[in-house]
Amino acid sequence: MLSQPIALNTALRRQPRLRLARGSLGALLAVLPFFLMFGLFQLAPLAWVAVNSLLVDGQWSLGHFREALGSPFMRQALGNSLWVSALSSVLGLIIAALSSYALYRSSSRLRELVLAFASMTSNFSGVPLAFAFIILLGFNGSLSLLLRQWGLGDDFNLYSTQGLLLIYTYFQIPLGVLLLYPAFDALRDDWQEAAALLGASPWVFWRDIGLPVLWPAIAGTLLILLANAMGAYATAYALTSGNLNLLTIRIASLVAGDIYLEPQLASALAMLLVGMLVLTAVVNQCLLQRSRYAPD
Amino acid sequence: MAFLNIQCLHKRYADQTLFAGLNLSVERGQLVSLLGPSGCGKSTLLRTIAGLTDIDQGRIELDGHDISRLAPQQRGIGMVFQNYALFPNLSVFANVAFGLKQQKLDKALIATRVNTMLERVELSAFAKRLPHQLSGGQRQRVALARALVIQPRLLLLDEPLSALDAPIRRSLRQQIRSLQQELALTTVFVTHDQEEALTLSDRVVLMHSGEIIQQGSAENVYSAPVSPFAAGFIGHYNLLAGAAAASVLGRSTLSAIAIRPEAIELLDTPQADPRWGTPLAGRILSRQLLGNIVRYQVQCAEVTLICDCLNRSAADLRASGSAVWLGVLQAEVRTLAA
Amino acid sequence: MRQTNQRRHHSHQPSPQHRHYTLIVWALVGLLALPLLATLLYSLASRWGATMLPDGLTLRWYLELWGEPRFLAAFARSLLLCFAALALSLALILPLALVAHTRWPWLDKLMKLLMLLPFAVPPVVGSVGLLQLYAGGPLPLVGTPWILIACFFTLTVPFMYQAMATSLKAIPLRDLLDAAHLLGASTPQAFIQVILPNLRNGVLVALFLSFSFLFGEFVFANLLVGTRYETLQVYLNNMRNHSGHFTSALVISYFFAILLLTWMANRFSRSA
Repeated sequence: MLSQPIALNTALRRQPRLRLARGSLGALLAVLPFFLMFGLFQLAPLAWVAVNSLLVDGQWSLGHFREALGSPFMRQALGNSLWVSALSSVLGLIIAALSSYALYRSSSRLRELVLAFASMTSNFSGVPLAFAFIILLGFNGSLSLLLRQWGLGDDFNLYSTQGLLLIYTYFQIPLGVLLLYPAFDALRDDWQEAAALLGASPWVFWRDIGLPVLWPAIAGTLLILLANAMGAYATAYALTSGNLNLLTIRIASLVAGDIYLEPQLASALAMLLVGMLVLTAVVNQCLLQRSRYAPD
Repeated sequence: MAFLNIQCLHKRYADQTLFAGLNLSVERGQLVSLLGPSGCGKSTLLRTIAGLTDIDQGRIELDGHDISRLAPQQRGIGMVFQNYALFPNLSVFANVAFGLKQQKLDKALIATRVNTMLERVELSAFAKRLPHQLSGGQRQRVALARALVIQPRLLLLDEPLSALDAPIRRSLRQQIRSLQQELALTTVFVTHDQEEALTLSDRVVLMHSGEIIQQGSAENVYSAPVSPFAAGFIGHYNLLAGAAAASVLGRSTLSAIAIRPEAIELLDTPQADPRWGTPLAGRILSRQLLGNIVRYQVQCAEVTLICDCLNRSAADLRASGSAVWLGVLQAEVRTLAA
Repeated sequence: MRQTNQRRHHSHQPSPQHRHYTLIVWALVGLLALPLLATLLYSLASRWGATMLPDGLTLRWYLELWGEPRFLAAFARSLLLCFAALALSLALILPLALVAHTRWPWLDKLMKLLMLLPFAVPPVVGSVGLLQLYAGGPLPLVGTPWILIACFFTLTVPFMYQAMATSLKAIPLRDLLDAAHLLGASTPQAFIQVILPNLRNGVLVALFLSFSFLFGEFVFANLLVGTRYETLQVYLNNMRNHSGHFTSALVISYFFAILLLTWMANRFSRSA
């Protein structure tokens, strides 16, 4: 009499537990292949780089970092990467911000068209972009010829950091527009109207309300552009077959060059790059977390 | 001379005429509601007064001065927007102080006036909060405080309560009205809610397709609609024309008539009375309980009429299908302009 | 609704200012289009020496390009790699996203973190480790298309996972699954018949965007494999000393492929 309800009870209790266990096993099997691949091809290489940047002849050491930062050649690469990235990001951001505002004030048809065009050109980077610029502004580029006819641009050299700055700025613009426009779209007309009725000039509106509201998006976009430019390799490589001295070019030539290979020194340089990128990612996350003025 | 005077306002947008010679005047200290369905031009009219939408022709006078060519900044008008338009990056205090800061007032004076105003709208405890940390009703009061603290000559309210729940809406309605009366502030209030317009205003202006259909006191507009549109928008009027109107009136009529549902008595016997003459025979089609009121649909020969009765006791409720007699209060029957 | 109408109403008001903004927008379009237009013109020019405009127009370069076996082979390899990588990506990430949104919410948080990795570890850095790990040993993948498929997969992770997570958050997942269960469907049946159709458009957009992005991948392809399995981008780079007209035709052909993909992505995102 008594054992029956108990048996029923345990059976009832066991059944969901069994199903749960079977479900968990299924879930585990479903996610395992992903983590296997991700581990092998994303985490393991990074781990190799991180460990080997700190190993000198099997001993933990900062030797490679010391070597990297001690060499004027490497320091120049780091410096070039930094200033070309920073300047192209700021220039690209300014142009993107002005364009985004103009888009925000344009008719919706034009806006959609241009945003689609921007998303297309944002994929136009790397080798084809470098070639397009060579055709436009190379030694015999059509725009170079035009400028020379007018007596301009004689000292412009596309195959230098100057040219690289131009091309980087170019590819930052569509990316900047795509990242910034949504923030402009969230600006509401009635804020500007309310400010006007309270006696504020447009300038005061932008200083006290417009820009502070946009600021997280602007800063976040700048950081993404910066990271994008610092990690870029293909454009610079295609432009000069690797003769420009940039951090990414140095890293690649230390592992895949023709002359001498130093994967551990490459790892140290790579970790410097990763460090800077992680820093921008962290700052970006903080910005995203901190300032969320939910509009409604 | 009225305090706010709009004369012969013309406005076209794209191929559409929004206003063709609209006139409106508001007396000093009055609260006037612009009432109408969405798209009737009431919000646009408010925006032209504020200077946020420019006009093609006409004159807008405030306190005897033409303001129609002034920038919004120079008009001295306070406005509460439909979605409040609170500055999301500024605290409640800074939002309210914003207009005073533009006047370059002394910091201490700004603080005193802002704090007084926040006390008045019962938000002192929330001064440091950001707008997104407030409830809808609190945001609405911040918007009101921000518009009032600059001591505007005219207050404009653009559907200020439409985004709120019914109970908060009712209490804020009272708060707005008492503040307005206390400050004797001339106010234009845009709404599509007839109950809001009727309870709140000194004068109701009914608009349709960019034209003013009717204006007057709440009582007047409610009880004496001038057109089928006015009757249809203001209450649940029974609108009748031609043969239907004749059968209800008991005599032929050329114009349409409007009868309020509460102006029809439900009778058990066909007793005649000077107030309604001979009652009409009818049958209850349906019954709807609206709280303190019961709404019946009654089939009366070829006509279906709506009648409202006070819900005094459950025993008085009539079943669907039961026969009744209707007494239409003749004095309350409105003859409408064709 | 009312609010957007009002806003549109204002941004449409024709005014002199409005015209300035349109001008700025067209200046932006011109700026972005300039290198492309120059390349297009160059690819159609019979000869373009030291003059402003080409001597004549011709389709010669396109005919030469599309008759070139090495180009066609590279094009086919690129397509194959992209398809393989996207299939792998879909097969691995879809189950992951479903598990993260139905059973293990912590997985979603972990993925948010892992998705930042490709952002912080550019392909150049990854290549350093990959070249050492897979040059020999138990998995000698360097120089084969397999390593590119795997690396391309890692590149798609943020796009694909984000797209799936967004679509999954937009539907009442729990309720749909419960309803399907009550109507007698098993969990796999419920996923296939109820959940997947809801993810279709979001995932398609991510697929098209990933495709156009992978199609232009150069760093992994050049550093890990190079000419041993020449992709379109590597081929383009190796043609640097070839006629400029020929490479222009190549660039334009490539851009039209991208155009087609982004256009399709846009179409699907609109109907999503």
